[in-house]
Amino acid sequence: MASKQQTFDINQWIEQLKKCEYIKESEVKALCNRAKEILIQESNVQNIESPVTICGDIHGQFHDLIELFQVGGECPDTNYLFMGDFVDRGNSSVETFLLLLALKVRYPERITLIRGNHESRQITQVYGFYDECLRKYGSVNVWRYCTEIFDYLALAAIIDNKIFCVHGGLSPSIQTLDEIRAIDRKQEVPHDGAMCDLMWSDPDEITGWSVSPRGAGYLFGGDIVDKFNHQNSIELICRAHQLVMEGYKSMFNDTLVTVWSAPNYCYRCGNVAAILELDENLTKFYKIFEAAPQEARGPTGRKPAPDYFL
Amino acid sequence: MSEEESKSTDHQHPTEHCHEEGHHHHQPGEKCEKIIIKPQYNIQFQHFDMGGWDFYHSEYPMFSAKQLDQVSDLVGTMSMPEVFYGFNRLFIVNTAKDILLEFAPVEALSLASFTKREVLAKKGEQSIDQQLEALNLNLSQNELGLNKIDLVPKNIEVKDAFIWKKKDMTKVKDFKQIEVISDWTYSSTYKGNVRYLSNHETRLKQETTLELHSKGDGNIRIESTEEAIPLDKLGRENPILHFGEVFLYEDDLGDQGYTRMQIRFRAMKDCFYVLVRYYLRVDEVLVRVFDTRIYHEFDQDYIHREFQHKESTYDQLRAKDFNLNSDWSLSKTQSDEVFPHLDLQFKCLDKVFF
Repeated sequence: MASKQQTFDINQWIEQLKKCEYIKESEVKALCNRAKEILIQESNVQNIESPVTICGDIHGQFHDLIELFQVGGECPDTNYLFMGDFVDRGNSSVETFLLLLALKVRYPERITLIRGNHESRQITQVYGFYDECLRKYGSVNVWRYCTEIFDYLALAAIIDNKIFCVHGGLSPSIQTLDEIRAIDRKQEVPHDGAMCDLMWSDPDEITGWSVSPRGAGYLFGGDIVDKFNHQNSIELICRAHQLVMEGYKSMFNDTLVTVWSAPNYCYRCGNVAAILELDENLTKFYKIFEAAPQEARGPTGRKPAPDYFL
Repeated sequence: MSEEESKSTDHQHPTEHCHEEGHHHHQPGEKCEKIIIKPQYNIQFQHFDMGGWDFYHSEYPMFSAKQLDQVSDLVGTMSMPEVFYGFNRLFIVNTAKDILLEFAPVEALSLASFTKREVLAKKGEQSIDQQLEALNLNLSQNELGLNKIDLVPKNIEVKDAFIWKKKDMTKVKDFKQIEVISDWTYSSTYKGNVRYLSNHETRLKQETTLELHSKGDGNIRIESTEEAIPLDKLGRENPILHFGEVFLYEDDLGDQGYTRMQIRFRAMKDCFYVLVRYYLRVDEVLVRVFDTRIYHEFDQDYIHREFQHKESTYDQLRAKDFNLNSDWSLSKTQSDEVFPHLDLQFKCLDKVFF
């Protein structure tokens, strides 16, 4: 077959990426340029209409993402919201992020991607995406294209004006959704401030706000969630960011839920994953799934080889 | 020699029962004491015996949120690690000598609680009974001395903590700094506990359904020593007959690093060897290891034990040209890779005679 003259064949790339084959560097560049044009149009708080399926962290577990699409339905048949942390830790961050991005370019109205704390230059240098790009492409160009795209990702989403979705949690600098809309998001995730908090903060069984005992990052209690939800006429906060064995965890009388979509996290924890389906009446339905078979064989249940450790 | 193995336990949790412990009678005006629900599990063990010793260990997936809630009061930490292997155990037992080496996740994690740490390290002040009660670690009076740990790990903060310290929290409405009662890194100097088997038969059966019976009266005592563990006897020329790896807990520290409590053990024809390792990496801050090595030759009347604290900052590791890239920081064997490059902070050796 004659080589294709067309340099932008999105359907072909999606097919390739679905087989976990990564596309050429020049193709990544073209894909990212197109994605940028789409993402730049999006609001910091992207509006989404139900029905929609909400997904949490994926972390480069490509085969489990394919499993997720089998469980939840293919895009564009199903309308998806991914709440960040597409990359790092898993073996296939490149294929995972590029597939999601290609789907975004192909079906911009049927998939929404918001930013997680791992969609950052600094974090990806510690947790694998940087080295994976270097290993797979022999240069850091692909990492540069992708991290530039990270800066364009929306910070949050709101479904039917009732369900607020964000990667980490709330921020004491933010009382209203308009305050999120006012953030200049086109930058690396900062070390503190509203944008940082949205990606890093965690709910906890406390009242009010507190700083994590780690010395950085906010914790917020159920009263803070109540206040925020009331002020913004929201019924539920949906977030990801923290591993839960059951795939999801509801807190504060069902006013906040954590959704986790990386089964058998890091190929060893033995946890299940969940996605949250919302129908047109915003009725919640959690779908639970396990790791894709070829990835499921972590150390648990397997006999380790004898190790002459000292 | 025999080896019985249970089937793969992936995604299957042991059956679970609960029994209440503690006093829950209360009269008007009297303070109501907390009822602690102690979970009880039907745990499947892998078993191996060699040289008069029995090795039992279990490997299961992490605890569920509900199971975490059930044990968090026992542990005494302000939060639980994301990944807590509550069903995992290692028991090394000599029924003739009435000795039990127990390795369990609740005990290990308990040492991240500031109160329990201090009790274990403290000399005097509290009476033995008060100490045992504060520890709540199923240690009898005669066992407390066998398991004392003098080292209290220093507290650490993440690399951005200095930025957060400068923030004016008076501007945050409803801000309240929570009281920190335990170590967020889950640092634990846990060595496993040396026990009289006869003291614990009932408890082990209750907690795990494992039935063990002591065949004698033990007399365990500890002596400190300068003598090193003969690692030269642990090479490939002395083949491993049985090997196990038991994870107790791990946590990614909210994307600020990694921590893991893990035990590896192996039995050879003439000896056994155990390595209990607490490992901590705080990104761009430091790497810490608390190692306990336990060695026993079957024809000796003692167990040789070495405790080591090694720790270096990222800057110190960089100065030694250690490569701190993500190939290392994501590696499952990262602690083994960095171990030789860490600075020794403290070391002590003892012999447990029985």
